[in-house]
Amino acid sequence: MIIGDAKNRTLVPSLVIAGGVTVVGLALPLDTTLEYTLIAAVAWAIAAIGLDVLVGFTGQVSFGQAAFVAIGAYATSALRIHAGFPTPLAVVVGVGITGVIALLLGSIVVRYRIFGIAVATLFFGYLTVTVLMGDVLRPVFGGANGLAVPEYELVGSHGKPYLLLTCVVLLIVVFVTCSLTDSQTGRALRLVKTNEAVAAAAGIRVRRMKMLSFTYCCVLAAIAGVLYAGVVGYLGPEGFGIKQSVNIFAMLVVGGAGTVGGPILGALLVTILPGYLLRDGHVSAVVFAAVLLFFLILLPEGIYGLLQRVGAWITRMVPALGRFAARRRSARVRRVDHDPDAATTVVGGASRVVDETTEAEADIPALEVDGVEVTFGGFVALSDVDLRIRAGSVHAIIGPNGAGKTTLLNAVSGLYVPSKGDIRVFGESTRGMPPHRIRQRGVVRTFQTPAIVPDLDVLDNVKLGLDADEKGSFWTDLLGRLATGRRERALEAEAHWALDAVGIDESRRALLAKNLDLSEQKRVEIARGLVGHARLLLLDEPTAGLSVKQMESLGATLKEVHRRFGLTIMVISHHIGFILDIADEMTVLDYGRVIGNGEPAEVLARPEIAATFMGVDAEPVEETAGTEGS
Amino acid sequence: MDLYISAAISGVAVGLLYGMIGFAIVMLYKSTGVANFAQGTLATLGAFVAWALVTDAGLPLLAAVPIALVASGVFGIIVYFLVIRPRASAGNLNITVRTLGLSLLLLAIMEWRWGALAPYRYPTIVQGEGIQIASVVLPAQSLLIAAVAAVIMVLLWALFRYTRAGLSFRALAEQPDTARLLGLRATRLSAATWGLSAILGTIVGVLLAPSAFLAPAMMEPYLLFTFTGIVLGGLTSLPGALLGSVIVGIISNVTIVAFNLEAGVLVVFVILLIVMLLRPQGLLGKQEAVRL
Repeated sequence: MIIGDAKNRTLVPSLVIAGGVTVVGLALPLDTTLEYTLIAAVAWAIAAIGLDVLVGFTGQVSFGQAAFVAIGAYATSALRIHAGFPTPLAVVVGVGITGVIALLLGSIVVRYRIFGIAVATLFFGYLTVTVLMGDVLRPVFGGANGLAVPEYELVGSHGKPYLLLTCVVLLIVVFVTCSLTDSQTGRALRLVKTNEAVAAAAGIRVRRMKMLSFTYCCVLAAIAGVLYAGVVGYLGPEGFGIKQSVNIFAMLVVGGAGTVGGPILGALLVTILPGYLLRDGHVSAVVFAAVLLFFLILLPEGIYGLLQRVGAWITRMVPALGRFAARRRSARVRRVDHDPDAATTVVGGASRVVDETTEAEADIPALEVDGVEVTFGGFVALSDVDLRIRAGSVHAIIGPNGAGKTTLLNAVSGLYVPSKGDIRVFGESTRGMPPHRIRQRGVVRTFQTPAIVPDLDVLDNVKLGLDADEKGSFWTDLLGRLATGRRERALEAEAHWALDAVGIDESRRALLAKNLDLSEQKRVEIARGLVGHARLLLLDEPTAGLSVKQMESLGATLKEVHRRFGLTIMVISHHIGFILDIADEMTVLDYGRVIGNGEPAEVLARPEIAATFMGVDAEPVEETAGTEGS
Repeated sequence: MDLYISAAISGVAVGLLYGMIGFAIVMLYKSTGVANFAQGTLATLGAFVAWALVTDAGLPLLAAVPIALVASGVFGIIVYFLVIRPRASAGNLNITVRTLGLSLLLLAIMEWRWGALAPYRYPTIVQGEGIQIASVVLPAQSLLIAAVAAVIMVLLWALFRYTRAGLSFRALAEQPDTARLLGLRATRLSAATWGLSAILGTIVGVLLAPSAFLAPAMMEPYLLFTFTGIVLGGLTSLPGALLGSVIVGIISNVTIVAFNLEAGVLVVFVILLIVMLLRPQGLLGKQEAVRL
């Protein structure tokens, strides 16, 4: 459920768009209606930018954004009118109230799949209008008669001063939002968008991130509401219904999701086209819906994507521009110092691990699995599995398809909860621990299909691995590189160090991850695991889909990593040669049970194990008799 | 008290109506991963078409309804090919938003054509007092709804159980990718599902309009009630959609009779939140394995 790729480093283009609107709006002599429409469009643009963070960057959805615009507008206005709050205080409290409501609603809806979030937000939008219309709150909000909004001090309610205020707020919102989406928090949101299970295993608190994104989205809606209330001078509930929520969503779609700047263009088109150019209500409603469908079907990347394609075409046509763009791209990689010693001293990365595991914990097993059972409904995926992995060893797990290998990794990383038994990591039971807490204890895993963010560059993907250990702050992330630059450089140095360790060429590190080949993507995922304080690395089929040569080189990389950092590695693979090459010990699973354990070559020599693998019934295998499987 | 009992009984009837469009929504969701937000507007459009055949063309209602059913089936298939099918690779969220866009488009057209004089009084297929048991009256319309719902459910059950198309559909709903690999004609089945959804919508629209009064936005709250019923039932369970919808129908109807529509909307929303909080897998759905 993803609405296309999100864009990276949106700050400059988005500021150009917002600045362009500001300059054109202030410079041109606009008639009153157009000026009014433009101010309204900019206000809606702010709400649409909020929605972009939720949809374009987090992969969630809200069909009730207009309701939060309404709550911000109504709360602020009611506080000014009835409680006599001075305007700035009323705005702060009004926006704050919206944020709290968003947080409460968000804490419930983020537990659900997208379907539920869509339905709940749509319903909330309908409910908000119903309540605002109703008799109970009529004394406060005016019911169907609406609420007259007094002019704001200093800027009035229309004209150039008010337009200037609206545009300044827009510029600030653009800056803050671009900073956020390009920060550590933004990267985490994008991993959540890519795959929630992967994000959880990478140490990200998925629900919290979704709540944060939802609240941010609604707070921007409230700010839009404050600006909108001023320019319309009158609030009526019917203007904030389901239709308007879809309107805001349309601004996002038309402008381009995952771009920050795009929704501004979308808001201008969606507001000015029907509101100013086509004044007939019926015609404009039909045209609006048709425009939305046109973009969804034929131009899903929106105006922003279209402009970007035009830009790329021009760059291709004009060679000098192309060279300039290439220089800028590679400058990002070369600028930083990626001396491995410097990297580890800056962040204090994985080098520390060597001492910890080799000296203090040599006797404690890295992983103990005791009588674990995992069931799905009536199906028993793992039954009474015992496993012990010595700290500092490489332990392979093999078994036919459906034997429960990945299920075992999922149980260890906390994605599945065993119905029986216990799992201990470095002596500590993980019972009841959510995945991100297990990750914090140094358990890092990769997935069968590379689980990296396709539309994020390689370096940023690796930085994601530090999320569990090097907590940044959401608030500094809003301030942009001025506040986070030092941290980012440190993270970058560590990411370079990890990419060196897995052998990703420097020239490939500024590419979007989706442009790498499969073996590189797997290495990037391993690098993401390495940068954190990894102590136990769980690799799910790192060799699947690789050529023999790639496999050999991956094996060499793993051995090197294992030797240098004293990591414990648990690896699933189907390639016996690969396992014999790297593993110290091996466990064989079949039908959810352990059927063999020991030194790899010795285990493979046992006749019953050979039978399981070659599909030859050399001898009847008692362990598997009578069990069920698919 | 009798008032509440009859409210509960007519609640079962409207719940069955929600259940029927809920059924259509779940069918589409299971087979394509798309939540059809246009399902309500499709129902209203069907009701309007039948109504226009009665008032403009002078047909009797019993002739108008079958024509409207056929027309809506064809319309559903056309919508599928024009709006849903092109660039189907754009992702489920994109297509879900398309259904919202479609809903807005249909709504805009209905507002344009019929909006000025709405709401309209809608003819009922059956007249009369209904049946009285002790002091509780079962209105004729509710009995009709229950009968239609029962017939539809039996027909659908037979369709899914015994026909080739129905079995293919179930395969598609359970394992969409595998079903496609096995050579099932996913396009045809999806088109047929859209046609069937539109027909179910029209049946519901025609049965609901006499009590709801015909207006372009008539289905808005009912669609939300339906979605709540689906979530309560377990999202991917067809019987669950029916069960959840009937429960929502009873609770909302009783609340509306006891207080007003606003209270009904509020109570149903609270039910939605409680289900999401305490039993996200719904009454008959499967629990999700992965913990996040």
